[in-house]
Amino acid sequence: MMTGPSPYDPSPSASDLLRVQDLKKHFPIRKGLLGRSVGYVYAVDGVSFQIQKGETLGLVGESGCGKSTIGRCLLRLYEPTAGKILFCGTDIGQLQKRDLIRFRTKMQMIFQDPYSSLNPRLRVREIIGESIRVHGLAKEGQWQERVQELLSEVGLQPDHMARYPHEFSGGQRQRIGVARALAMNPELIVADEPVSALDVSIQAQVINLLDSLKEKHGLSYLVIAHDLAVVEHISDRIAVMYLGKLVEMARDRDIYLHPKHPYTEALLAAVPTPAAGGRQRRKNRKLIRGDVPSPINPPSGCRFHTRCPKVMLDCKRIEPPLVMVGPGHFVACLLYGGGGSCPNV
Amino acid sequence: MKWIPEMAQIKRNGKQKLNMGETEERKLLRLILRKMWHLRLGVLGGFVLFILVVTALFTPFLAPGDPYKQDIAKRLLPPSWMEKGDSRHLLGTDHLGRDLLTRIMYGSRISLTVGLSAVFVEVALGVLLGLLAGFHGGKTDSVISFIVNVKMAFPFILLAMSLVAVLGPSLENIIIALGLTGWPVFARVTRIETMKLREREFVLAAKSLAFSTTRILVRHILPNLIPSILVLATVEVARAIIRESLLSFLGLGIQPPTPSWGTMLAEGRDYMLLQWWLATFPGMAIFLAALGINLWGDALRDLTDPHLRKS
Repeated sequence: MMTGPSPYDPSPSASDLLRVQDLKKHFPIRKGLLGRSVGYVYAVDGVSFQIQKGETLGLVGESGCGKSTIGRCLLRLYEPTAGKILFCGTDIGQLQKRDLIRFRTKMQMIFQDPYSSLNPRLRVREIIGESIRVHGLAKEGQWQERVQELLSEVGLQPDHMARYPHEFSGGQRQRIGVARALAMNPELIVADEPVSALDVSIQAQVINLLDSLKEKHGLSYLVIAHDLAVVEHISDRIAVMYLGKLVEMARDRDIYLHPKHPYTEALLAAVPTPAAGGRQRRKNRKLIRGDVPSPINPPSGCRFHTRCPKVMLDCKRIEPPLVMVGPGHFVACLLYGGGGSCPNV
Repeated sequence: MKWIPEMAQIKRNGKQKLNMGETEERKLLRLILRKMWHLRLGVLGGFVLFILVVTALFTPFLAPGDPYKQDIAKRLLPPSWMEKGDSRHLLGTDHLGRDLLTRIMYGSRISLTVGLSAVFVEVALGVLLGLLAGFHGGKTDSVISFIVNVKMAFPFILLAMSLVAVLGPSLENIIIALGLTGWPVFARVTRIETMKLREREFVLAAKSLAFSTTRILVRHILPNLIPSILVLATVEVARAIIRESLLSFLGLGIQPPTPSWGTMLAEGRDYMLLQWWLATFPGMAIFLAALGINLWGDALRDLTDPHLRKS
C-alpha cells in the first residue's frame, strides 16, 4: 500500500508548520441598494494541504483560480468562509486580536507587484523598520542597525535606507519587500507571485535570494505562481489548482516527470523553457483550449471537464476526490481511482 | 569659437564635479529652485499669496490710514490717478469718506482668517469621515455616504444662512457655518481615495505586519492622500473666501463697519454706475486672492510628490 500522509489526515504531525483543512472562501456578489447577495464567487472551494517546517510548497494555477485568495486567507487578510487553518497547531481562525498580532509576526507575505507593495511616501528605513519599532523586535534605539543588517542580507546597500521606493528598480523593490517580511522573523513566508512582475533576468536572482534565505533562517515558503518554471527551482512539493480546488499535489520531481492530471500535463506542456523532460513533453504536448470557466457558476462534477482532453462521460457527473496514487502524490481525477465511487458525494 | 559636442561633455562633467562638493542643503535648495522654475505659475501664485499674508499680518504698519476714519468732505473720491483724485487716497474713498485701500488691506485679515479656519474645520471633519467610510466600507460607509449626499443636495446658501441666523453673525459663527457646509467635498475625495488605497498591496502588507487600524490610516493611507487634500484645500480656501464675501454681501457675514471684502462689495453695489471703484477693487482683491491660492496649491502638490522631488 502507498505511504505518506494524506491531505485529509486529521492527526497533526509534529513536523507540520501549517495545516489547511477544507478551506473555503466565497465572495458574495452584492447588488442593489440594500446590498443583497445574489450569488457567490467560489474563489476557494475546499482546499487542504500542509506545509512542514523548512519545506517549500509551490501553488500553481491559472489566473483567477483562487491561489492568491488562499495566500490572503492564510494571513487572515481575508476571513475564510469555512475550513480550518492550523499554524503550529493553533487554529488561527479563532485567534483574538492580541494573539492574532503574535501569530502575524510568524507568518509574512511577499507581494506580487513591487510597485504597489511599498508605500511610496515612506523611506526604505521606515518601510522595513516600522514593524521592528512597533513590535519591539530590536533593542531600544537599534532598529536602524537592524534595518541595515536586513538590507545587506537581501543584497542591497545599507545606505539605501534613506531612499524612497521609486528610486529603485523592480528587482530591488522586491528585495525591499523581502527584507520587510524578514524583519518580523517569520517562520512561514507566503510569496504571492514573487517574481511574475519582474524581468526574466531578475527573476532568477530573486528566486535564488529566497532559496538562500530559506536555509539561513530555516524558513518555510508557500510560493504562489502561475508559471511552473518559477516554482520548479524552489519547491519541494507542488500543488496544482484549478477553479478553487486542488487537482494534483506531489513532490516536484513527480509532478514534472510523472504528471497524472490532464490539467497538470497541459500546464507542463505550456512551459516554454527546456526544463526537466522538456523535449519529451513537447513531442506529445496537449494544449488546452478555451478560458477558465467562471468561478461564479463552476462546472458540475470535475471542474476541468469542459476543457479536458481526456474527458469521460462520468466527469460531468462525479466530482473526483483527491486520492493517493504514489508516495505523497495526490490526484483528483476519475482516471486514477475514485471512478464511480466518490466518498465526497 | 566652434561648438563641439565634446565641449558640452566637458562642461557637463565640470558641472557635475562642482555638484559633488555640494552640501545636502545646497543641493536641496538648488533642486527646489530648479523645480520652482518649472512651476512659474505656482511661483506667481505664491508671490500673490505672500503679499496677501504679509498684508494681513502687518496691516496696522502698512496701511496708509485708519479703516474707520470718516471724512464726509472727502467722500466718494476717485482713485488718485483719475481726475479729482487725491494722492493720499490711492484707490479713492467710499461713501463715508473712508480710505478704500486701507479698508481692503484690513479686509484681507478677515478673508484669510475665515478662509484658513473654515477649511481647517472642513478638512478635520471631511477627512476623518472619509477615511472611516473608505477604509471600513459596509454599514459605516453607507451611513456616512448618505449624510454626505444629503448634505451635498442641500443648497449651501440656505444652510449657511440658517446657521448664521441661529448662531448670530460673527467671525466665529461664519467660520463654523462655512466649515459645516464645505466638508462633504473632502469626505468624498478622501473616501474614494481611501477605497483605492485599501486594496493596494502596501496596505495589505501593513495589515500583515500587524499594525493597528489607526496606524494604517494615519501612517500609510493619510500621507498618500495629502496631495489630493492639499489641492482641494487650496481650492476650498479660495471658495471659502468667496463664500464669506457672499455671506457678508447678503448682510449675514461680517457686520459693518468692520471692513470685509464682501461687505465692501455690497456697499459699493449702490454706486456701481458712477463710482465703480467702490465695488471693483474689493472684487479684484477677492479674485486675486483666489487665483493666487489656486496657482500656489497646484505647485505645492507637484512639490510634495516624492516622484518629482528628485529629478
